[in-house]
Amino acid sequence: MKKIFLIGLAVSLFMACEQKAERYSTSGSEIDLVKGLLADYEKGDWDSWKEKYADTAKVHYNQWDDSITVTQSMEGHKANIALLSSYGFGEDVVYEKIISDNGNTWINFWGRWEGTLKENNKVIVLPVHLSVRVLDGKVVQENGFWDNSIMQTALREIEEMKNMPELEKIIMTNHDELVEAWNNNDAEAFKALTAANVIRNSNGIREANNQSEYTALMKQFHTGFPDFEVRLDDYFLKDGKSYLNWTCIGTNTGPFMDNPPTGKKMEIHGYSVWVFDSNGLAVQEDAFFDNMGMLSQLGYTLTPPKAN
Amino acid sequence: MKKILLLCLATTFFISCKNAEPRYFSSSPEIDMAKAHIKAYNEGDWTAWMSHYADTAKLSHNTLDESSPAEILEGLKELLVATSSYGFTDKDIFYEMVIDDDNEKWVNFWGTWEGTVAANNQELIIPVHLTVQYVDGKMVEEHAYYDLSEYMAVMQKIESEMEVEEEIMEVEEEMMEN
Repeated sequence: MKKIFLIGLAVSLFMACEQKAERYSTSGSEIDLVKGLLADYEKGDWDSWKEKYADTAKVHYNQWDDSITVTQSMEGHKANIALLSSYGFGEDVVYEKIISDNGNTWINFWGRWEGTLKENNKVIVLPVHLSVRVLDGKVVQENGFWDNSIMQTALREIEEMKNMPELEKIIMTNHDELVEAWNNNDAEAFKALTAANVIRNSNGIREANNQSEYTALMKQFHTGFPDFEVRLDDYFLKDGKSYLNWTCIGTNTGPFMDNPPTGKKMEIHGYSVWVFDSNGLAVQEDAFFDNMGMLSQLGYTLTPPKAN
Repeated sequence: MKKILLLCLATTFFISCKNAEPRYFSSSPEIDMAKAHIKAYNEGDWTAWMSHYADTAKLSHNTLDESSPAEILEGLKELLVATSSYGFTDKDIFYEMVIDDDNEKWVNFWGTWEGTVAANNQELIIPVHLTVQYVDGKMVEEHAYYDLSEYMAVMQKIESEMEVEEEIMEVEEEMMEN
């Protein structure tokens, strides 16, 4: 009797734990199905992609109430892909399979979608979450969540660019390239984008009167901060001038302005007004930023003057 | 001997059962915390909302970049300032908690955000997904996915209508002067 009891106990324990274990997993045929779906999407193999859905599958992208059919979803994907030179999800994706309280099998996916727009080579990165219900080896429902406004903003920018006066287009391209020249410490690229006697004023004080003096300044930052990076946060153009907010980051591991490296990091936010000539070449920059704030981050201190 | 064998078998099953602890939950203390967090958001109780996060919490809303809770709060307030009412509804709302392969506790939330734009009384319905990691009862990581395109479109529409109104006013003023 005891034996039967023990066997019974063992079997029931085993079954109980089997049931519990099944409600969450990170592998299995349903996950493989969704992985296949994404692989088909990336390859553009729409026949194989469509086969993975049930005929009556409902697709909800960024909305609960109204659903679209698999064919409508495919047409939507194709229309978006037509605007891109490359697209897809990288390796850094997470899949899970869960069984909900009402016994449905859902595959949840979190990934990073990246696409490059044909028109201007702009790279769009979107975090995407998909929640997919699988029944009898087919997708019967798909819910997708991502911020579509990121893509819409990029497409609107392309339209605005098309309607923009020619000089503004050149200025826009040039100041993106100026940022790149700063980041790469590329004196030649900088010279190609500026007038020979380009001026730089920092907080109202003249720092450079020509290209050589300006590129020497760039070099000074890259020597002091070998990982120096400047980011263009925001800007607007008006009457041949660009008004822009920027952020500079770097680690002071090299000599900076005749001082030994401090090993400290800095992050400063600043504002510049760039003036461009009628050919779109930069002729002047007036930069404003908290110089003392930068030096404080590096560990420099301010000594108050002695009282008279 | 047989008894020992059976006992061993039972023990093995028991241990394997221990290994297969539940990893999916539709209720848990963390889910209750997540519900309280949503409630604080709905009520605009930002002190309570902030208290759910660990000091070092990393949040990513529709981006891979990480922000602090204070930075995200600032962004949320900027969005909400244009609304006359907002909140997550009771409809289409799901919570679950899983324990992943790294033994981390994640609460997943799917909900419906509804808001009314103050300037034109337009109603917006936005599905939202949140996936949040909890450690010792605090949120340490949060990833949010929601589509802002309709919101942005409404804001742009309002902005362009305002520009047109301003232009009309300018023309009217000029006509008055003449």
